[in-house]
Formats: sequence, structure tokens, C-alpha cells
Amino acid sequence: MNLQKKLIVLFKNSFRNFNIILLITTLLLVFIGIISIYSATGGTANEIFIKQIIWYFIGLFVLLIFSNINYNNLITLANYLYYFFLFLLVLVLVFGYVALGAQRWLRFGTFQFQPSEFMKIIVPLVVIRYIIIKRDESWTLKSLMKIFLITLIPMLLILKQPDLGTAIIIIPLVLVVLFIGNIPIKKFILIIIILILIIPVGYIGLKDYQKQRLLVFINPQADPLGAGYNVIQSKIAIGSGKFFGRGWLRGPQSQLNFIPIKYTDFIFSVICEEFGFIGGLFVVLIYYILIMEILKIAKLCKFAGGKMLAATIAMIILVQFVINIGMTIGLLPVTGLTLPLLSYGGSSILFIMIIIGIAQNIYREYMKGEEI
Amino acid sequence: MAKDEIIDNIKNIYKRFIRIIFLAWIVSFFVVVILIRLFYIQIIKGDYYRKIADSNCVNIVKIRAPRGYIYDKNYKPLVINKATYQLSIIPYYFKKNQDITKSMSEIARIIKVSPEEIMEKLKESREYILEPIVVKRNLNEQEISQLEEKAIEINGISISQEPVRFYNYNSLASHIIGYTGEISLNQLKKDKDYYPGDIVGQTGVENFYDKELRGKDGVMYILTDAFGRQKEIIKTIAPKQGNNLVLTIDYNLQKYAEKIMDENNYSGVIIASNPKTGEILCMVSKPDYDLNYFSGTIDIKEWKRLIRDKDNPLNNRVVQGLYSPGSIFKIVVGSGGLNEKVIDTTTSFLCEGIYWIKTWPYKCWRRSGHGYVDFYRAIAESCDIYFYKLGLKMKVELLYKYAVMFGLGEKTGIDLPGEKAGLVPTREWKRRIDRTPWFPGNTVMMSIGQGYITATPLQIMNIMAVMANRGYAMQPFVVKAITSENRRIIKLTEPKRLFDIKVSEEVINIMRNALRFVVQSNRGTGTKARIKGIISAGKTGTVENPHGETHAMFAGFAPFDNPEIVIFVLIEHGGSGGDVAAPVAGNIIEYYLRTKKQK
Repeated sequence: MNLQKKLIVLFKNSFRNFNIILLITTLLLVFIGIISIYSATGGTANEIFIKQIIWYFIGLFVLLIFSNINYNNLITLANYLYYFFLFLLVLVLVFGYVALGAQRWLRFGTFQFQPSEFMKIIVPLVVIRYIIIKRDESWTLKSLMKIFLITLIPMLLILKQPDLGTAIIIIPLVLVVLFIGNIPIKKFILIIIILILIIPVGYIGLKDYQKQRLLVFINPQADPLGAGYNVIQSKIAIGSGKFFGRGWLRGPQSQLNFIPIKYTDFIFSVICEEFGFIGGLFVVLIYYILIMEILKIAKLCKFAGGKMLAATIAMIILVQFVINIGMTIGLLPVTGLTLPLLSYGGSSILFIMIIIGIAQNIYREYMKGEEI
Repeated sequence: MAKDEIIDNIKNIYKRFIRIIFLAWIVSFFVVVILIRLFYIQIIKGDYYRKIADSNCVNIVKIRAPRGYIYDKNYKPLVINKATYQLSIIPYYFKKNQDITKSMSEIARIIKVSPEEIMEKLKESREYILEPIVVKRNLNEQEISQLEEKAIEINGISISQEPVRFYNYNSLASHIIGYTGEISLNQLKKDKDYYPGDIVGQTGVENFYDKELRGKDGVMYILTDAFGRQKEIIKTIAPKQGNNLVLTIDYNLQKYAEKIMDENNYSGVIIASNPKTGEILCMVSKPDYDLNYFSGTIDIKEWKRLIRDKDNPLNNRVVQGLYSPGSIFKIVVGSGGLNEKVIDTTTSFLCEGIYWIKTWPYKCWRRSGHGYVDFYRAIAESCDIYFYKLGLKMKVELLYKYAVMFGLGEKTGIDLPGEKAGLVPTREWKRRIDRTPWFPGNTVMMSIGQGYITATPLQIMNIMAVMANRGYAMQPFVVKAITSENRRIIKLTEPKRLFDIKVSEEVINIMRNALRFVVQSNRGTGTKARIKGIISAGKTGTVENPHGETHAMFAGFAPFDNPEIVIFVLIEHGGSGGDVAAPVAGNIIEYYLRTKKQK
């Protein structure tokens, strides 16, 4: 075989056994993302819109790469990744770029990078590795304390930025790893009870603006011009979409800037105003199918590590999806977590594409095993 | 063994399978909750939200909360609010007019501003095109009626009511009260509790207690039609008026003190306080300004005049003015000299009217000289040369020690903004700033309170307060209490001890007696401050300054045995302290003690 043919085979191989449902839902979300960002930024080919499209392309490419990296390698390398990203988090605190009152970004030229985003998958990876090595000994008090420490250190660094949203969602992710790692159910319930008892202690440590957000969540009318404004306007936008919506680029709430930060945190409000209940339902169902498909991959996979990893990935998407949409429809407080693949933002898109790529790889490794 | 392991393995796989199914149920649960909520908002409440959005939409209009009132110590209202009308433009609708330039010039003609000025303000709104922009405050009746006519044909203009400050007594206590104004960009950046367009206190207690006074703004959700005309109020959250302040100021005393200053056309300072608590009884800083200029919109010309006035009417001299303490500082030097046993009461120095250091002459105020003077005479007749010699014996280090002990160089922490600390020089300070060593001449000047040393009138008054209290000063304050409606007290100011001086009781008694001689002995410099029937004490000061005639000062307290009032009077360029300031102080003390007895 000559080089050309070799390359063609390599190229073909890198697309083999893709999970079609996962691929279609991903591409659909990218498509919805493009049209809603276009609308949310005023209906012109502006800088934000172009940047987002570039990010989608980079993201899809990264997805392809990660779907070709055996996930077991990621689990093996987890510790190194963990230390490296801890280092980056410390760098952020020292040199980070400050925006919107928080220090979350590292800057290389014009490129901004948010290491905390990637901790959401790296911490579970480390825990998975630990459980695979320790097997049944993972559930002793000593091991659990170690897992607790592994989780706590990056959480504290992220809280310091401060980025409450990202820090908090690491907890359910680690819980899912433990759960699918077959932790005895009694211990699992005990851990959850302890976590619930810690909540009031955590509240005291919150920054004033975070407390305010929680209070405003409980009663949005308390500050209708400030923090409560976003949620009230978002609800008006969504509600006024009714069944069929106002039509693309025709939502007055979105187009007249009633909804703040609408192309990041409140993108779902724009979709619901312009495409109505039908549009909202469609988006929610796509996420549902995407998450269920990843859970199916977790079910299919023959190895404990793959199962835990796939379940974690499903949970990341679920948590961000629920928290973000819950916020726009006034069910949950405003946290600043993005809507996977739809919100504007490079780090966020890249991250979701990477974890979907990993899920694809788990599926492909399974299919490889079936073929033999 | 192997069999057990296989069974275990199968059990594990099954357990994991069940748990993944469980996760799937959780996912489904959340999706269902979200869909139900979406259905509720979009289908069931859809019409309601559509109506709000359509009528576009809900205009959220802020209702400004009236600021709290300000009273004198006897609940006499000094500052209240009155209603005024303002014109605002909502840019989004205003731009829907067919002929913007025409409507703009029509509005401009009515309210008598240039159309460009309105244009500027419209540009400032940027993307908040639905928020009303205030174009003119304080409309008069004629303007209102003309504008109301125009509102029918011009889109997007509205007239609304707003409370503004009203000052019952114009310029009375203007420096304590302070003026209000629209928040500046700098202030906005510093404090996230404020919004653009907020009216905040800029000086005085209006500024210091702004968070108490401002209250909580209300909100009105107004349905407006597609042309910006207000149709219906959906919901109103009423504003909450701010808390009230009760000052320590006595209206009558304040008025009396200001009258004396005005009648003689003096500029300067009068402060009186109760030495035992630190309550300020009156605080006058002249020249001052009429607070009513600042309510509503201030006239630009008037504002420029105030800003450019060389006499700084906007400055509160009591806390922001820095003066040489002059001969009043001799209290500090004298106490220090006695306490450090550099001198005793019998020590005498010869005053020949002039004192030479090498080739430099330092004069006494009495050119003919005092002859041999002992301590009591030195204070009573304010002999400068006595203190030159004492100061040289004490050296700058001891002068510094006692100046700081008496609170100089340190803010008193009074509840007014912009307080200055003043300066007490040291050898190191001079080397650092001036790059020259400390000369004996500097010590000489400092020992009579001139030269580099500066202090605020408040600090100078505190020197006298220490004497009145026999060894300590209270922290001065001007707000006695914060109250809500019906005089319900929210917070009462607790008097606080500011500092104690570490000087023996004997020395303090000597010094108090010397201060009594200043007023009561016939040769004293402060005899013109005498009051019939009451023994008082004090110290005069006549301060040289580069701008012209000397500043006249007098600080004193009364009654001698159980002081109820300590006072400091400073008349800028007034002449001699004994001739000009002392009688003013005497009058005020007399007025205060007399009116107090009547109650």
C-alpha cells in the first residue's frame, strides 16, 4: 500500500462506528445554536456570531480527535491532568484576567481560556481511576476521605475565583461516579445526608452578591430593577412566545434588549420567545435524547471505568441543562452556568464537545469489541 | 471459589445496570418538570405574558423614594421635601416621531434649553432605550401646561412627579446639612447599591448618612402602547421614605451665631459643643451658600460662581479648613512644659519684646515687652517670648509628643465627610518634605502654634474641651439620633471618649486657672469674653498669615467649675483675637446659658 491509500484508510477508520444518534443531536444543537445566537446578537453577521461559528468548527474537530483517543488512556493519565489543571487554577488566581467581577480566565494573546470548566471532567476522571485501582476497598472511610479531598481542593480554588456555579456542580458529578461505581447504598445515602447538613454552613461563606441572588430567587420582586430584573424579563419573554412563538428575529423582548446577557446565560429565553413552546419542547427533547443516548452507552459498555465515565458525561450535560433552563424559567436561582452547546463561549463549547467526543469513543470501543 | 467470584461479578454488573436505569429515571423526571413549567408559562399564562410584552412592554419606572427629613435637636424641621415635576423622554418611542428635529426644538423652546443638550442626553441612554431619561427637573406651571399639550402630538415624552429637597431656612447650617445632587460616575463605580440618575448626598450629613436618608425606591410597572403613551399601571411597589436625622444642633443657637457672623460680615468659624458628650451645639462656617440652589436643578451660572469663589463657600471650614492653632497651642506647650518639669509655675523668663536667635529677630506681640513673666502671666497675657524660650528648652520632640497627645494631626472622626487631619511637624518630616534640617527657628514658631503646624477648628476646639473636662475629649458628633416616622428611634448615637491626655491632675488644674485668668484677670487678653455672673475661661489667639490681616481666634469654656459649653471662634482676617473673637464667644456662651436656664 502506498502512503495515499494508508491515509485514506486512516481517515475512514477515524469515522467508523460513530454513534449516529449522538452525532445528529450534537449537530442539531450546533444548528440551533447558530440561528439563536444570530438572533440574540441583533440579526447581523457580527463579531460574536462569527466567533461562535468558528468555535463550533473547532469544537467539532476536537470532538473527532477525542472520539479517536481511547478513554482508558484518559483514565490512566487522570492524575497528571489533575495536577496540571490545579496548577492552571492557581495561575488563574495569580495572573487571571478579571471580567464581570470574577477572575476565571487565563489569557494567551486574544485567546481566553477557563481552566475551571475542564475540572468538571478531570475530577471525576481521577475518582474513577482511584475506584478502579482500589476496587472494593474504595468504600472504606479512609478512601472516601481521599476522594473527598480530591474533590475539595479544586472546588476551593474555583470558589476563590469566585465561580459558585462551576464549583457546586462538581459535587453531583463525583456522586454519580460513586453511585455507578457501586458504592453500598447505605453509605451513599449517608454521604448525601452529610452534604445536606453542610449547606447552611456554606451559605455563611457566600459572597454578598451570591446571597443576594439566592434571596432574589426566593422573591424576585425584592429587587425588580437589579438582580430580579433578569428573571422577570426572561419569564415575560418565554411566556409571550406562547405556542408558536413570535418568529425568528421577531421577539421584541430579545430584540429590544429586555433580556440581559441573552446570548450567554439567557439564550433559552430567546429561543422560547421566537419559537414558542414548540421550539422549547424541541430543544428540551434533543437534550433528553442526547443524555439518554449517553446513558445507553454507559449501559452497553462492558467496563466499569467506561460506565462511570459515560454516566458522568450524561450527568454534566443534565446538570448544566437543568440549572440553566431552570434559571430562565424561574425555577432555580441565577448561577451563570451555560447551556451546553447553545450558549456563547469558547471554553464552554470546547468542553462539551470534548466530553461528547469521549462518549463517542466509549461507544466505539464497545463496537470494536462486538466486531471481533 | 471461582464460582463465587463469577456470581459476585454478575451481581455487580446487575447492580450497575439497575443504577444506570435509575439515573435515566432522574433525567426523565427533570425533563418532565421543565416541560410542565414551560407549558405553564407559555400556554396557560401565555396570554398574560404576551399582553405585558406586547403593550411593550411593561415600562419599569422607578419611583424615587423621598429622602428622610433632618431636624434640629428639638425636632424643628430643617430639611423637608416638596413635590416637583420633571420632563422625561423615552428614546425608543421618541425616535418614532416623524420629524424628530422639529419636536426636539419645540420641547427645547418650552423648557428653554438648547436642542443639542437634549440630543446629548438621548445619546447617553445607549441600549437602554426604554428607560425614561430626565431632560429637565423642576418644571414650572407654565411649562407643565405647555408640555402637556405637546405630549398629545409628540411621542415618547412624559411628565412625572418627584420629591425634591426643601430647606426651610435656606443657608442655615448649610455645611452640616450638605447638598444633594445626581450621582457621579465615580461614585457609581465605587458603590453597587446605586443606579445612574440617583440623587445622593454630596456633602455634610446628607452625604455621611446617605444610606439612612435615601430610603428604598419604589417601582411602577406601566403598560404603554406602541407609541409610548402610558395606558395602565399594572403594579406599584410603593417607595419607602428614608430615615430621619435628628441633629445635635440647637436651631436658636445656630441662628444666633450665624446672625453675629452675618451682621459683621465676618468669614470664619464658630463651633460650640457640650464637652461632656461631644455633641456639637452649633457649627458655623462662613461664607456659606443657600441650600435651595441645589434642590432640583442647580443653575449652571450659580454653580460656577460657587465653585470659583475664592472664599470657598462650599468648604466646611470646621473640618476642612487648616489653620495655625496660634496662641491656643500654648495650652499644649504649657501643659507639656509643666508635666515634663521643664518649668514650674514660678519659673520666669524675661520678655524684652524681641528675641534674637543669631541674627534672626522673633518678636512678642507686645512690642514693648512684658518684662519678667511667670507662668500664669505668660498664659494670661499670652507672652510669646516666654513660650519661645520654653519651646527651645522642650525641643521639637516634646512639642510633637504633646501636640499628638492633644489630638492634633489626627482626625476626630466626626460624622461629616472630608475631614482633614492637619499636620504636626517633626524633624524627620521636615527632612523628608523640605530636604532641610530642623532649625531652632522652627521650634520657636511651633511653640506659639505657628509655622508648619496646622489644625482644623474642630481639633483646636478639642484642646479647650480637654481643659474643660480636666483631661479628656469626647468624639464630636452632629447626629444625635436616626429615627423613622413618629419619632421612633432607630439608632441613638452613643457618646464616645476620643482620647485622654497623660498629664498630671495638678498640671491640668494650674492650666485651667491660667485660662481663667485670661478672661477674668484685668490684664488678661480675653477680658472681652467675660459674662456677667458666670466664671468662664479661655484663650485668645492672633494668627499671622500670608494673606493679609491676622486671623482672630478665641477658644473657651463655661461655667468654670462644671463646664456645659466649650466654644471656638475664628474670624478670618479679623484682627486681634482678644478684640474681635473674644466678644463673639462671650455673646454666644451667654446666649446659650441664658436660653438653657429658661427651659
